[in-house]
Amino acid sequence: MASGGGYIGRGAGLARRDWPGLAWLYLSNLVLAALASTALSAEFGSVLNTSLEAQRLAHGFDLAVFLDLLLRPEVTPRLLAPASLSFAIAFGLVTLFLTPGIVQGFLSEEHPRRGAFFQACGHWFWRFFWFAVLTLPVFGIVLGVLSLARDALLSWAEKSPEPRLYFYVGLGTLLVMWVAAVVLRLWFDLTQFALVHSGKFWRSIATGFRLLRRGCFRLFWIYFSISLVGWLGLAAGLWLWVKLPPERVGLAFLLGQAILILWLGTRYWQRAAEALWFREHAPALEPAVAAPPAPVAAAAASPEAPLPV
Amino acid sequence: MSRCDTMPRVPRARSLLLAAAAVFLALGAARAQTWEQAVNPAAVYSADGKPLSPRVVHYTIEAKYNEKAHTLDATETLVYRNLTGQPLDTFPFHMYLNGFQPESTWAQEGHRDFPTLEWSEKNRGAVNIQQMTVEGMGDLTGQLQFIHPDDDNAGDRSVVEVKLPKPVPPGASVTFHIKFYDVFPEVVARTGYMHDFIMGAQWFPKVGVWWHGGWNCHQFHLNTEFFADFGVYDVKLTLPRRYVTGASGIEVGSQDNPDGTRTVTWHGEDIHDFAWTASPRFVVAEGTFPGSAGPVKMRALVLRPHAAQAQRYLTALRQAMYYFDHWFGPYPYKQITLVDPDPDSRAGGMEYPTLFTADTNWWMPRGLLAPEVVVVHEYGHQYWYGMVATNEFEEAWLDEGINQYSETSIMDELYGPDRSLLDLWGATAGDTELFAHTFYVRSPDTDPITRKAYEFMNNGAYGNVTYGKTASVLHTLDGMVGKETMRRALHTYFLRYRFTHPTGEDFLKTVEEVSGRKDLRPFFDQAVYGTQVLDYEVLSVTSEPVNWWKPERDSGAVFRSQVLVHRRGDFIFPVTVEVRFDDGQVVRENWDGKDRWVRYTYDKKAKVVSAEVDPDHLIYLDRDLFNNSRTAKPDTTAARKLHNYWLFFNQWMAQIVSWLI
Repeated sequence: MASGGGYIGRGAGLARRDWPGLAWLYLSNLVLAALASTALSAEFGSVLNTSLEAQRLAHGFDLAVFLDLLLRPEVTPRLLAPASLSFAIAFGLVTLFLTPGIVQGFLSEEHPRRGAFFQACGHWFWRFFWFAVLTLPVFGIVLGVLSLARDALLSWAEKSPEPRLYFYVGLGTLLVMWVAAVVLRLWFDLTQFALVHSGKFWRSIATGFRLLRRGCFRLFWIYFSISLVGWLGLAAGLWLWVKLPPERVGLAFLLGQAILILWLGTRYWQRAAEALWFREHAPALEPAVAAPPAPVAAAAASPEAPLPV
Repeated sequence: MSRCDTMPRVPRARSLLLAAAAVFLALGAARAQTWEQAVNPAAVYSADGKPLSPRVVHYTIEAKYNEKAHTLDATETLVYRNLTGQPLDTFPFHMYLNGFQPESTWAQEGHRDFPTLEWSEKNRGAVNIQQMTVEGMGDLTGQLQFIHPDDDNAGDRSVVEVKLPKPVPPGASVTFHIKFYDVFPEVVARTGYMHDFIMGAQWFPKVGVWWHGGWNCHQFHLNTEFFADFGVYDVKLTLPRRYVTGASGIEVGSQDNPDGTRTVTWHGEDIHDFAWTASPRFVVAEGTFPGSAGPVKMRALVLRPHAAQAQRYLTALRQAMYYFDHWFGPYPYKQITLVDPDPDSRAGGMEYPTLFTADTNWWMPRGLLAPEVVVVHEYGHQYWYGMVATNEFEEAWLDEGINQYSETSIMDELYGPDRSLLDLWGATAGDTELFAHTFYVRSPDTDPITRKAYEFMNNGAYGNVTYGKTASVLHTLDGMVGKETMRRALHTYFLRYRFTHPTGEDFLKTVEEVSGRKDLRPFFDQAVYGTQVLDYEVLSVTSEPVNWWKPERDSGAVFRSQVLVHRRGDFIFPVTVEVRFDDGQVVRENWDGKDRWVRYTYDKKAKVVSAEVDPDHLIYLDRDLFNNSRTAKPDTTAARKLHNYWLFFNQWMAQIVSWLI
């Protein structure tokens, strides 16, 4: 069996091999966000573009000037929140659409061609959609219960005269919630692999759970190690951003996008490394991965697929 | 045989015990003697040995705090000197702790302005007079009657009045003996307990002020602070021995009691209120400031988790004391006590005579100067609230507003105007910009700053106008008469009116007198007494060839540049307009601002680059600083930068959301 480090390294190689999937994700992330933020840019521009006061934002970041800006009637960031939320949902749907193609690519020995990639995306979309619909309540329930426990612990900590206790309890309980969320995520990732692998919707959930029990610690370590790269990259990127000359907007944009690509990339890398582990531990890998995606009608006809596809 | 030989022998251990007891008794006697002698040490520096203030009142209070119930039993003796020049037969008393009851005017106004806040029984506070006797007149407890001088709220019990059977003649004194009982709330309005921290503020029945021919004793309102006569306070506080205490005045005695409590005695002179605090978690840090009136003991009571910030507090306090001493006048008291309250208590940032609460947190970064701002601000109150002591119910701006101006001026002087509040991770903020101008911009026209505190539109308007607008007005005055002149004006105002309860007109006349400017009235009428909004804008800047109709343009063409300036607001104020041209020329114009607009026209070979109203940035009262200037060519850097932040935030948040899928 390969070590965690082996999966991580080979996972990086697999993610690099299938980089177009990442590129599609990033491009959709950028384009949708640009659409969501254009209105605010126009609002800011109407106030700032011909004002000398704007220099205090261009050559630094003067919080007082920024707050003055937000107090102006032309600037309505609150009204832009729905656009941001819509964008986040749209990006979630795009991710949902692209994920089956990405998963199928990771499970195959060869880099998928673009046609096969999008064919897989379309073929599995509805099953992935319904699976996502099923997972969201599970996330909601588990994290909701943990959140209630966290609130109870925090209100206990709040009564303590030691102010640091509240912080550490808050941090510790967040960490617990994060671990729980990651474990759930790993289960659902494995289920997605099993779904593409076998085409059996309900059986995949059980398969994913069995595989998670078998390799939980190894998989968690893989996930955590790669996450660490993302977090360290984010910290280093933000540190660099602060050090940049404030008026170098283009450079700041590139740095910001590099951070976002790194974040998206680490998630991509995590899936690739998990897929490698899955390939080595899945009960029977050959039929679904080697062959092109099963026709929709065939999948629908399967007794294991009562859900709409 | 010597007498010693005939004495019975005692065991060695017993003799040691006896010796220890003798030493203890001797020390106790010495302590008692010291306390007796130290009942009235001078708590202030007085050049001629005379009191600094009229000393209308002398309070002697003995109080015992119950830490489990958060209650306090006390007896109060008030000697009131009738310096009003007329006989007095009624005396109103503030009962501030009764404001923390849902029926009170304080709570009703709080619900009006913050309807989502819910009442909690933990927030209930009370002060109950159990008995009031007046020397020579007997028990007058039955004569006590709650009154409501400001509204018709019969549920309000924040002012009580007693009618004496015979008047107190002018020049005579009257002595009240009051037995009262406090219930402290979990901290409300910076008063009460939180965990094992207690802030004893506005906690005893306090007589009103005879002012301008009548009693001035307002109910406790959401937006009002305090007003009281100067006098002497002798207070004995008994608390569990593990508590570290601090209070107004100076400590003159401390005695451990057999029941595990300790009684600490405090003495204050020429002060108009008395507050105290206690917590077993206080660590004491001390220093001395060499004030111009004499050395001042700086005593910081810092919570143990914040002990690392004790020196940061003391440094800020020393800086504040230096500037107030040099700019405005001497601090005549022998001690100043800084209290670091429980961070959950929201008791930070409040002033009492010779004592104030600061605020910090264990994670407070160096680049965020919030603790420094609070220390400078609250220390500043020692001058405007503590010594000048204006009527905060009716003219809150004279304390909070002038103090906001003092604080922002000092912070800007210390750290630079652009980063006197924040200099962290590439972001900056100036204290004046944020805590004066940005406050003001939020309520530029709701209320005149001279409005009574309890008559403002709401709590937000009260804060924005009283603090932000007043400071903006005074910073604008800086630009009109010069910073040095303003400092001299405040110096004169402080020295002339300390311990006298002056009015707003006293302050404005002092500014006029010291600056020698008799033309300030129109400004005062609009800025201080009015609600006019000051807002100038550069509407357009254009440069076109003079011979604009000719199709051919030669290289030596002359351009006609036009700058259109508009007075958007109804506040008339003379302004300077600076016009810059692309050959480096700079032209300054002065406009009286009386018309609604003015157009400046130039025929030059150069084109106009930009025009700016108030190029030296002296008019802090201008509501909108963005429209003060206009450039001929747009520069999108700032907008692109903000767009970049927003784009990054959107992309990142979307990635977080998509992680669920």
